[in-house]
Amino acid sequence: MSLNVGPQSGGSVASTALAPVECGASCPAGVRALCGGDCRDERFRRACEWAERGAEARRNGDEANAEQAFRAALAQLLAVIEGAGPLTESGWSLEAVLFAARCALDAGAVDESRRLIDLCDCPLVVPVDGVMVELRDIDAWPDVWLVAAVRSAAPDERALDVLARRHWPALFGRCQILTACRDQAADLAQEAWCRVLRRREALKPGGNFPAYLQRVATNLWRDWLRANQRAGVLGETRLGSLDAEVSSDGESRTLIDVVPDWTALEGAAAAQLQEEVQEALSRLAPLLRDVLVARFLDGESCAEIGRRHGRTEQTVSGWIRRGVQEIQVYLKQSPVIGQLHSTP
Amino acid sequence: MNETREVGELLRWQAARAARQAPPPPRAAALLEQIRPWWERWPERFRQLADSLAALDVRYGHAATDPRPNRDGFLVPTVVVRTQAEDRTHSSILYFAISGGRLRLRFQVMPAPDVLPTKAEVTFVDAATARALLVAPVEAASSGEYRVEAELPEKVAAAWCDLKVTDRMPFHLIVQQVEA
Repeated sequence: MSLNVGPQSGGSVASTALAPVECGASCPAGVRALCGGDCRDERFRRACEWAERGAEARRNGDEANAEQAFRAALAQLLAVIEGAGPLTESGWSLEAVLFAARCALDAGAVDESRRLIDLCDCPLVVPVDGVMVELRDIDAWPDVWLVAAVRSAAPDERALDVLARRHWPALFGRCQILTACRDQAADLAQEAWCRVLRRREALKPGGNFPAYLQRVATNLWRDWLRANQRAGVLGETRLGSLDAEVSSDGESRTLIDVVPDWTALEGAAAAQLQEEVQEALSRLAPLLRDVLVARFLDGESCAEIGRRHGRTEQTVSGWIRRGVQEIQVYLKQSPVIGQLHSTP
Repeated sequence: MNETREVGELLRWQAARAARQAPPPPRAAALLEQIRPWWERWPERFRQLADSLAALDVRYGHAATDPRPNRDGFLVPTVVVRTQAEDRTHSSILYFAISGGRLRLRFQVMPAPDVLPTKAEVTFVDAATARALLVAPVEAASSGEYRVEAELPEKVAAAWCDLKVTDRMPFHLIVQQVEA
């Protein structure tokens, strides 16, 4: 089937005329504007209903039903498109193609969406969460379509490339804080991606993908810590030594006294501070880094962290004080930081 | 500015700077190749090992004089693969628990070969269909004992959730040495 786009007057579709059916609320706004509330095709309306069901299932985290519903919508729309005449830029059959391409993307049927997109040679721009997205520009696709494309048995490679490019830097940054080592951070980030892909059928396109990816990396790091503790590499003594009381000698515990305003630093000065903070983090026990990340980057409470480690809230609070203190002590003693302070 | 906010802000600043300096991301093709399970990359090799396990199962079945399980349960056919050698043996399941879709398993290779790999991974092979189910790293404990903690595919978790240590296990094991 090929559909030619060309300017035609009227914009009417040379399809089998059906009795008009009143549009339901689920018809896309663009279609309602075109047909004025008289849905020309019962299949179109059924497609709208299926798409609504798909969206609701996705909101509820029910991906199996979401995909099924979007595919049902797509099937209805393909029947409409195949019965339509030449596409026009103002015709509602073009809206059907756009709607079908969207349903295909929502269902993770990327090849089908590309086939539909290739039918047209006019811009194909659709609103997605308030942002206008050109369907041909895969870099502009929202995460929901990319994740849907990747979770299938045969993941779409182009979608995976875009998803990896988009979320790799933040993932790497988190891994660098956890491992305090650039090479280990790259390995951890890559392993996190592999784990996500091995269990890709569990991915939820409607979920928060970057947060999920970071959680997987953090859990992998914790698995490594546990395994090394059991093997005695890090040693139980490390965990025990963390429980020792943190001295409270009245000294200020705020970093602002020690570190220049990092948000105002640029260029070489910012790079120097980054190196010193990296060194301070690398000197912490890995478990302390994990606890600081959990508390300050993930917003977990001391009680939640304590439950994970089988310790009390007070103990975890002590660990955090220790971690902050160790960072503070190192940075205070650093001649590089001292120089940054004295530089106007 | 209180201490909590400061540390969080410094860590976020540090993470953001590290993100800007991140190396290039891995390519999709490389990631997909990396996650291909070994039995798909080397199907012939897997077939050989699966056939060995099936043969072990038959021999064990014929040799068992008492069909009733003893208190230690049934032995699981196991192949231990090292760089230069393969040993066909069995494993005794010491601990088996599934919680939240996660398997915790301890098993002991019996008799243990002279040299057991300390850095290894175990592949679970469906006893009925001879298909690979999953692979997971193992921690070697002592005297031929291994410990595994692994996320199970949903269907496998559902099928195995009621298994007890004394039951006949629906899987065979391939323990393979992993390069350091």
